[in-house]
Amino acid sequence: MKRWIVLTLAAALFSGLAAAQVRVGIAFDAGGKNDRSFNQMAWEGAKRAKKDFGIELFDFEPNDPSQVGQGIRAFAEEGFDLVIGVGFANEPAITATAKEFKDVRFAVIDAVSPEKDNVASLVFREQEGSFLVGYIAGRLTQTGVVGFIGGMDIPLIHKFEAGYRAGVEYACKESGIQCKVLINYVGNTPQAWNDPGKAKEIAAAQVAQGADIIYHASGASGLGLIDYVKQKKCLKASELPAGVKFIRNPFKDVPKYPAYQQACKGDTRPIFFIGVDADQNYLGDTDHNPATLNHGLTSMQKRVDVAVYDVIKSVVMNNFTGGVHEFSLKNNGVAYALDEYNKALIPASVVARLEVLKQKIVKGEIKVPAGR
Amino acid sequence: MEIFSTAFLVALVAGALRQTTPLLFTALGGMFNERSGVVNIALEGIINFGALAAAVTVQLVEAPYLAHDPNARIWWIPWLGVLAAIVVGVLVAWIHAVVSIRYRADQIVSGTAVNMLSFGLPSILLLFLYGNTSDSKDVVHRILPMDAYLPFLRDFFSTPLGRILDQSPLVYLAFLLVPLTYYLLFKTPWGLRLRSVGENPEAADSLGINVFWMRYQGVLLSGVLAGLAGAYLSISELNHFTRLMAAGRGFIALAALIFGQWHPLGILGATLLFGFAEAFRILIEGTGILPSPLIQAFPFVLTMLVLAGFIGRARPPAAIGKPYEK
Repeated sequence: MKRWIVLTLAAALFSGLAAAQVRVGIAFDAGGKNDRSFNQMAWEGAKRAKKDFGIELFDFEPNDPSQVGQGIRAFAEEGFDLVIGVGFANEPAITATAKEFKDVRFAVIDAVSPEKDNVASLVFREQEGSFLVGYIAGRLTQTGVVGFIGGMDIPLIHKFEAGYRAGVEYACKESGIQCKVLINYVGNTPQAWNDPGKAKEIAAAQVAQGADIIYHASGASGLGLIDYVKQKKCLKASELPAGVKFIRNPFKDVPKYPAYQQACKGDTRPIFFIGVDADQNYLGDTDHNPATLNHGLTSMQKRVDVAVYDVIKSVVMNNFTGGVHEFSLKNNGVAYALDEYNKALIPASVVARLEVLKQKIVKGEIKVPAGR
Repeated sequence: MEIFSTAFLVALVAGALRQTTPLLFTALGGMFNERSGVVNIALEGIINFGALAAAVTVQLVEAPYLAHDPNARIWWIPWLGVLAAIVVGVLVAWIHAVVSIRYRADQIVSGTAVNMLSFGLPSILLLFLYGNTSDSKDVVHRILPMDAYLPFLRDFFSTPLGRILDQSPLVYLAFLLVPLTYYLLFKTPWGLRLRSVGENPEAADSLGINVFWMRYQGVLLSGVLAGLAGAYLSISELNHFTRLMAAGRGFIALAALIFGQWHPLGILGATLLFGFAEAFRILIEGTGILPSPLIQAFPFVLTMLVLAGFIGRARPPAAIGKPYEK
């Protein structure tokens, strides 16, 4: 008899748990969840939460930029526990839906919603991480010219641009060299996130102007930059424009892969990209061997995965709070990527200096600009 | 970088030729269907489908070879991709042709439908093949710039002129198509028939020309060329398909077609103007001489100025957009 009671109780408890399973809907922006960047990070955070907390996870990918935001209403009408909008383009839909569905909790990434009670606005201090990767570029540039490719020309991306430029200038001042930062944007419509062909052309134009390191903040378009860098491999002395010359050779001792040695004989220097959002270093590998030269110098990691995971966790643990949540160097919300693919590229002295700079930024001794 | 230095000019011309290529393919394709009297705003969609077909075909065909030997390079695989893009381009154009020629539906509506299909359908195929809705796996076999095919000219290809000429064979093909299409359209009986069904189908019909069949040919040819533009984007310029990768090029090509007065040489000029304007804006923007929003508007402002000032009234084929009924 006693056993029966225990069993019944257990069954009731389990069915109760199943009914109370947290349902999370996540809506992406135009890049889609496989952009190897921003959206993908969010998706990975959500999948990790699903594994850890056994939530039910649904996702929505817009087919074209005009559909961004449509999935949010559908999720809210279904009575989901949490609806996440990935990307600033989802903010208007989140705000409008949150006003209507007071008992549904929402989160939006990269934008601040005026709704504070049931919307968590997850924003990042991208300029801080960009400053650090800019510093790396400034310390390691072999020509004194570096590039930046933004996706859509909007204030959010200006944060990346401004931080990067400040970091490059800081490093160049320290090394006592003159540096130039080339700035390009893919476009000014949402198509700019999905046009790798255009980003590749921009990369070609920047390299023709002497840039040897190019940082992108352009979502799926950035794959065009990465493709260009891997195809071109190096800058030759004969290709340098007037007024630009090789000033240093920091990658002299890094072992090179065979195709590189063949294509880049004589007075040449390798060229690099700097990835964004996710750790994209591995995309710069050409020969499945992290030990040889890799064209991904580093990546500015924006831990969208952590932000998404945390907000799902807060709903599961029942301690969700609305309002602005800021992710910065201080709470490791942004970082520069250092892994097996680029540890040979970044000297220990630069890594040590980066830690010092990081502390200075956290303490406010270095003020990183957040816009033009 | 100083403007009008050698390095600047090399970067400008080489970039402009690359950016002109997909527009030129597509606009020349559009010329055939519009000359036959059918409007085809589905070009954007056909580019997307062509790009998808090329990348997926190459990826699927090369996979077993690469599994066997990761360094395998088989010369015909990328060309098979090009062929697949052409075949798929023709099939998609055929849908538009059947709906608008045989069933006399509104050509704009039918074209829009094809475009919308190209935004959604690839996602389903990609989900089935690769488990995501936005892009294909990277391809290894692609159509490379000329120096890969002519290794003995490698020294030449590192000179300034060589750097301009070191382009994909598809770039050469696009420019070769200009005299070829001119000849076809203006020097052959077939060309005369095609133009006649676009100007006055009743008169053409009374002379025994099969209006429907000529129009089918015009539309299917546009599928061939827009498909080629897609293959250029996905397996020559880049190494994968990504959703919506035509990114408006089909519509810019349509503008170039009108702007080029439905004539191969005019189209060449118009697409080169777009290509150069875009390459110029990229180079100038990087230097920070002018505020970037101003520079980004440059290609479009230039187009409007040219349209308003230099080209007279555009005169389309007289029977364009009107379904023919016997």
